[in-house]
Amino acid sequence: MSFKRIVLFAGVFLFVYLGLYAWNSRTGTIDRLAEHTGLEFVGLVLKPGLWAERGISDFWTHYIYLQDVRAENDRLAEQVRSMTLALSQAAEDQAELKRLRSLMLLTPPEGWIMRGSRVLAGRIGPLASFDSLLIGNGYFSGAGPGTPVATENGVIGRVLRAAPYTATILLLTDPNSSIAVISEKSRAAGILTGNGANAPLDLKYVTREAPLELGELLITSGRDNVFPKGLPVAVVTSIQDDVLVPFRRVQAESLVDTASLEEVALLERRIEHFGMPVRRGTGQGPMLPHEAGNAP
Amino acid sequence: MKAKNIVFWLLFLVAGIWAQRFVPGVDMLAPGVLVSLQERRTAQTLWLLLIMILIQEGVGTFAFGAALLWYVAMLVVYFAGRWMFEAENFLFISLLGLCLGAAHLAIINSMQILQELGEIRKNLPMESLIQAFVFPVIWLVVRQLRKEWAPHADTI
Repeated sequence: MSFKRIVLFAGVFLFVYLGLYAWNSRTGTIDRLAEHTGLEFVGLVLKPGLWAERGISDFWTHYIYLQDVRAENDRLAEQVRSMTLALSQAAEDQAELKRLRSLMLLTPPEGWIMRGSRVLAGRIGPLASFDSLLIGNGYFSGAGPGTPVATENGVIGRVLRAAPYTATILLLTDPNSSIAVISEKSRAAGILTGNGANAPLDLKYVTREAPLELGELLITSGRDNVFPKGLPVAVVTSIQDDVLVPFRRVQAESLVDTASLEEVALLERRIEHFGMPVRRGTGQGPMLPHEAGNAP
Repeated sequence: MKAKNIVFWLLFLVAGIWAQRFVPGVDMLAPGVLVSLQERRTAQTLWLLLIMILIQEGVGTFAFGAALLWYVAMLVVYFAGRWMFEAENFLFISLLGLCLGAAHLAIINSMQILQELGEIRKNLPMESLIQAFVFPVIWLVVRQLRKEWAPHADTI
């Protein structure tokens, strides 16, 4: 091939590539196509294998290996999980009641429902650069882009990309993640951002006057209009003050070990239609016990 | 014959996706394109490229563009290297793997800057290294499997 033809090919490719890139940046068409085909295909490939793996594992652990003890342990572990969440919610309710007494006027938080989803994989492929997880629910089953994701211990992130029945979660440990939080006791507000896997989180924009304490629980403030208010997110692990900087240097640790997650909860805002509460989605995915109480 | 081919590549894609699940940040599908190219099956190669680009873009976290660059980089290095090396020479494929490892590093860095994203992952160089070493091994395995599966496939 002559040098002229190589230059011509390179020029044409560059022109087409930049054209497609600019067009996609404006419309998102190719991203949507990749989500609906590539992401969904990967979900279809992984789900049967994981289902078979769980089936064999369940059969072994429940019917062969100490059947009764294991069943009892499962039941107790489930109870502990439910009680941990109930306790956390009760503590936040109590704190809210105190504030309500002094503040009399407070907009009630909108209703949310929870839906369970299985984790299919961690980062997958050469271009999965963010700290992320692949889950077995998509926008047809409660995991539209921006949907908050949590476990019984706390928030883990939000849905970044979604296909009909598969989605990618951006974890709060990723540097591109930001969550508006407040501390549980001192009510100091800030933005919690990630620093990568296995690194402490940064709590930014906490003023020097804020009476934040070590070990204090950080909960979602709801000000970002993404997460519902009051969900536990992280614990403060270090506070440093610098006279040259107007904000305190605060580090925190996530409450959830994302490396070992198998199931997560998707938090879906309950929307109302002509004054009647309705549920989005088509009812796919396992339900959580809290949903029964909250669903219309 | 055609159905047999489709079954092979479908199985390859399934195995590749599962392999990618266990080794994050590494492309296990790219050697398949190379094997298909060496069989001189243009339509098959184009289909594979399209499917792989959609898969990698779909599960990736960047906006569109990185997968296309990644596979085009592989093709450019492959065709450029063919001027100097025999296409099926393992040394050449290993060198191609090293180039792809470097391309992985370069493309992820460029995309992070271009799309104004946060810091670059600390383990990216390690992933690139794994990519470089895994590529020729998978190519060897897939080529052998193709010889068993489709012995009459024309190779360069």
